[in-house]
Amino acid sequence: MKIKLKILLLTILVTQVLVAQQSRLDALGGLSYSIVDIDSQIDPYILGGNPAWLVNSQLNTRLEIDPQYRNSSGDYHRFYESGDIHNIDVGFMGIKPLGNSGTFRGYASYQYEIQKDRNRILTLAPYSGDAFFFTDTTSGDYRYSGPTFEFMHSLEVFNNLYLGASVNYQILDGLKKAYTFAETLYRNVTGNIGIAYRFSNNLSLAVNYQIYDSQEKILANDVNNTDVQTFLYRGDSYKIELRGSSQDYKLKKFGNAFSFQTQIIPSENIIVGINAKYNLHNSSSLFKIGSIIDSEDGYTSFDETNIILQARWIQSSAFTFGFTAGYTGNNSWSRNSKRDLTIWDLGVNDIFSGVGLTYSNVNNSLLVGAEYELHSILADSLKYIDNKFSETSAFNHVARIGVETTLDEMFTVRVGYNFLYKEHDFIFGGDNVTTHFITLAGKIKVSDALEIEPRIEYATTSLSENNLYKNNFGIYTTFRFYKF
Amino acid sequence: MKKILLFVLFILFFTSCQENSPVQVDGEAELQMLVVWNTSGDDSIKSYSPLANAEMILVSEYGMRTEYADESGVMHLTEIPSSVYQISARKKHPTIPNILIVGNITDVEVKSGFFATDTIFAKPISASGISINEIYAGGPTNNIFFFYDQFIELYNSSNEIKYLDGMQVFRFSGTDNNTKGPGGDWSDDGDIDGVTYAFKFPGRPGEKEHPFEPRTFLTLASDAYDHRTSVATSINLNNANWEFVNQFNAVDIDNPYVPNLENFRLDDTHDFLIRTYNDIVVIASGVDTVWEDGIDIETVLDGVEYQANINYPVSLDDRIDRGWILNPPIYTGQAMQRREKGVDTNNGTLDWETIPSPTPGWQ
Repeated sequence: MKIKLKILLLTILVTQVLVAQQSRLDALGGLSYSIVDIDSQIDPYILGGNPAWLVNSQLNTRLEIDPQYRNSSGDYHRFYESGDIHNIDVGFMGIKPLGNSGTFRGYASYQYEIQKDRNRILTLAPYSGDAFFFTDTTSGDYRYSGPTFEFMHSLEVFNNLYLGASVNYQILDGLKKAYTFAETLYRNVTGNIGIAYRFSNNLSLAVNYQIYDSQEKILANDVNNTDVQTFLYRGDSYKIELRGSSQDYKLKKFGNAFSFQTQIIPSENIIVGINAKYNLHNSSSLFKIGSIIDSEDGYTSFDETNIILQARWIQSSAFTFGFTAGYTGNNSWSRNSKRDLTIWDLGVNDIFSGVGLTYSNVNNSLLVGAEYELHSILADSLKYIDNKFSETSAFNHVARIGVETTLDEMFTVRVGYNFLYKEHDFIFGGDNVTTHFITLAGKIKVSDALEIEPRIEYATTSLSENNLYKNNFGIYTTFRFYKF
Repeated sequence: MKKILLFVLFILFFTSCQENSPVQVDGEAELQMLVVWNTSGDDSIKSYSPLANAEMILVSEYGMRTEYADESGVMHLTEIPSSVYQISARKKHPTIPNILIVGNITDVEVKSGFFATDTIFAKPISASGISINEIYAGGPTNNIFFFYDQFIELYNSSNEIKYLDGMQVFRFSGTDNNTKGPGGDWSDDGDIDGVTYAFKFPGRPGEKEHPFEPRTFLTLASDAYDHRTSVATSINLNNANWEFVNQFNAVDIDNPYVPNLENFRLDDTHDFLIRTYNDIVVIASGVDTVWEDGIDIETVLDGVEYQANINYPVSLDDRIDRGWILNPPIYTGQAMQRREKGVDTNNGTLDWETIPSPTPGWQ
């Protein structure tokens, strides 16, 4: 009973502190497993996205409004990507504990994005692993805009048995502002249901099941009366030409994921969490052949396994140690559905491990934290149709540093820095890639019920051997209300 | 224990939803073509030799690619994608100028993991007559639906003067029959049906008033004027050799300095305009003057079908042409032209190509 009480008190205490420090992880360079924060709790909700644990993870009412602006520019990008992306987003997130009725979380956002001078591609995310690229013949600005909504509810149905569910709906409207003036309608629906059971104060187990379905519908129909000339690439090299007064294309994705989480508290100052997730999903590349009939030209199957372990030891009020390790395996294959032939087979495995430490002084006016992770990545790429075969392995290094100092009751300053070194960049393809990331942020505590947290981020990534670079810049503000 | 068992069963069910990848992979097909030609000069005597270093044009759903045969007349390709290929082999005659040695093979199915081999029998094509050499139908770059600068270019590939007197130019787009489209032999009586427009040069076949000089081009304009005055990106057809004028249409443009082809389909008042994205154009000697029952295939000098979509069926009778031209996107100022002037192997797919801008009167 004493232990239960201690844990409960510790949880409440920590949570209260955390609530006041809600979004500071990004401001501290992305410190996570080695810092005590509401966003870095080692629990099934934060670690595994299990809605059942929301009721235990988020104990306080709050409302956050997050306007933000982001820009990514530079010539270190892939063939179909834009070298200048501007994104404006405003998000609203509210959490409301409802007593015996559990906890409710609501989220809504609206984003507006311009991808300048994007090269040919007409789909929203061309590099998601499938071998199909729907293009036209021009580069031009592409605009996407639309809202996202999410509702989540969690409650304790019986003693120590928790149930939760969420639904997320996103819709985006896109338009290319150059020939072929393609219009995009993208929608994504995700459902997530979870169950968790607290066996004891030291052990909790949870599982959740996610199902998602998305559809991206593209209609290329040139307003200037010219024929629409589009191509569907099967792989990197071979393409079929599609031409007419208009051209319809659909990319349908469907998937489901099963996750398992555990939270172990071997002693009152040590907490360990594991999340294991198996995700099966697929995408179909479709053309319209009748008013309601779609013909499948290509199909891609993905299976992903993610296992992550996090551990935190609050050694004293001054020192917190963190440890993480994990494995991510992503495999996919694409087929030409009309001929039933495999055209691509890709696989990426990432084994990683990291350690971290934060130090706080006696009156909590100064916090310094650091984390380091090493990733060992192995990628197999079998692009049969293109006759390109490769096996690449590399070590990637990530170091994070964050400093927070409280100037007075009203003002707090936060600085974060990341250094990333990649022997090989498995996303963009370069070798010996370095990234420096700096963030400068603050917190203004206007009253007990309102905080304002402005933040500026800047990152520069360079591929020195080719003189290529990319800069990311962002301005963020969080308005946080504790009563609403 | 039961709960654990149920949990394991659920995981097994979940993972069993995954589809397996096809065993066969693409990009592993192998194709070998031997190109030979009859060097005896006489079709009855077979004396085949390899056509060394022939240019090989391969057309499939993945577009066109050009390869070359080796010294032995063999083209050997490995690791190519599975598809159905149309292949044409071409080479200039080693001793006789203006003669091309050409051979085609169609519908060669190349499957991944298999070795496809065949022989192309090429023969000398003495381009010796009048043929359609270029069609410009899709209009210049514009957004006002302007496509009136159309023209058809003819080429006399023979070494002698040909005469145009009474020669006919047709557009076929009629579809009265359910099984065969425009340009097909609907009644299986040796003619092609579906005439939409019928225009002719002045005079009658056999007369010699309108010469067509050897190795020259003629431009037949829908409207022979400077279309740049309407759309800046268009072309000047003031210097066209001939102009289509429908004498039953009072407002049809008629350049007084350009001689006319006139309409001989009395119920039609339209100018000779062809569709921007698909149509059939045929030229005939003019011996068959009754268009209503179709045009005798024997009188046809040349005919081509162009279309925008490779999935559309070919409707022009295969005794005139066995292929089709993939027309360029409309309103882009691009044109269709024969790869080699005067060389007609009766396969538009392999004989024609897209060119970035029209070339009326020259190539």
